[in-house]
Amino acid sequence: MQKNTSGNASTGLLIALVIALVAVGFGAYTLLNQSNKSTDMAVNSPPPTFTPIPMPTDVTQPTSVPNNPASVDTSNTALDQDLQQISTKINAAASASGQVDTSIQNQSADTVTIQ
Amino acid sequence: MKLNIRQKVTTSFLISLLITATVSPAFAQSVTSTTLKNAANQQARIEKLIARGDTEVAKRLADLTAVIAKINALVKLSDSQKNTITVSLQNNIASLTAVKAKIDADTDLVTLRSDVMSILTANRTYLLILPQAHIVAASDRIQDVVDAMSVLTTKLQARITQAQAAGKDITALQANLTDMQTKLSDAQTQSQSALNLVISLVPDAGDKAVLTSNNQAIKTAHSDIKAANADIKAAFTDARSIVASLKAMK
Repeated sequence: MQKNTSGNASTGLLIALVIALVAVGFGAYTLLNQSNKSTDMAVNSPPPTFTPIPMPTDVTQPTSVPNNPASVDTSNTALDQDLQQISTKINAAASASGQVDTSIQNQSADTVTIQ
Repeated sequence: MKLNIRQKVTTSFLISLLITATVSPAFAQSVTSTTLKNAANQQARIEKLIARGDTEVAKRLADLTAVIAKINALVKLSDSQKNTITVSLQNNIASLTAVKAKIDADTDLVTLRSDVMSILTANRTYLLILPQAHIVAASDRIQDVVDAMSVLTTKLQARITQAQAAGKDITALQANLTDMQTKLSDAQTQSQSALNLVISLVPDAGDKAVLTSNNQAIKTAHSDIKAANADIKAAFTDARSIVASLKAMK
């Protein structure tokens, strides 16, 4: 009777070992499949993108305002012309300032992470 | 019919051998297939990353080339200052061109990732170089306006003096002119300050203290440019008001 009990125990142990082996095999297989799927997802997911805002077009500057004291024209017409030329220059400065704003907004293009 | 212990052990061994023999080939096949899939995924990843790197470099090169043309057209900047900023832009172009060549030749994903990130971290094209160049350009334009308006203030002062000599009340005109001169002086100070803050900045090369001080300098210079722009607009409003008043005086 003792021999039979010992035999049953050994048989049980062996069967348990086989079951464990099979379970480990399938476990590893499942894990590898999951890892593979996640790699596929990583490859197919779109990368983070940042499209810089295009710079506004420059405003053309006029030639400089005459600056010759010997021929200073202070007539109303001359003053109007000066104002006109300065107005164009101010627009050019505003445009340049706008480009500074845009370049500041685009700074984040250098702070993203590309993987 | 009862099996003895040896027979039982043998039977169990044969059963486990049978199970192992059934599962192992499928498992081995699955591992091989997974390895091949992973290799293909890695290659796809490398190709995508190279394409992304090339795109990032191309954007930066286009923007840098455009801003160089702008710097060359500036009128108030000294030759030395123009040279400083142009060299900085050209160095950035050379660095990006070199990193692009390295990226295109990369075959290892880890090295490739590092090289692609260096487009951003080592060059700071968008974080530093382009804002720096645009601030320099804006400062130049503002100083050009200040010069032109300074000439105008001389003319306006002459007309106001004439009007005073003719017995006209010039109190408001003189106040406007004084305000105009104050605004122009401030615009000059602010735009010069912006220029001085950024003209010599260089990429941080991973130094966090330099990164922080660069960012602060760009931020402050940006505020200076805004303030200078507001000043020249206010000065222009004064000028128009003075001219309108002078025209109204007969």
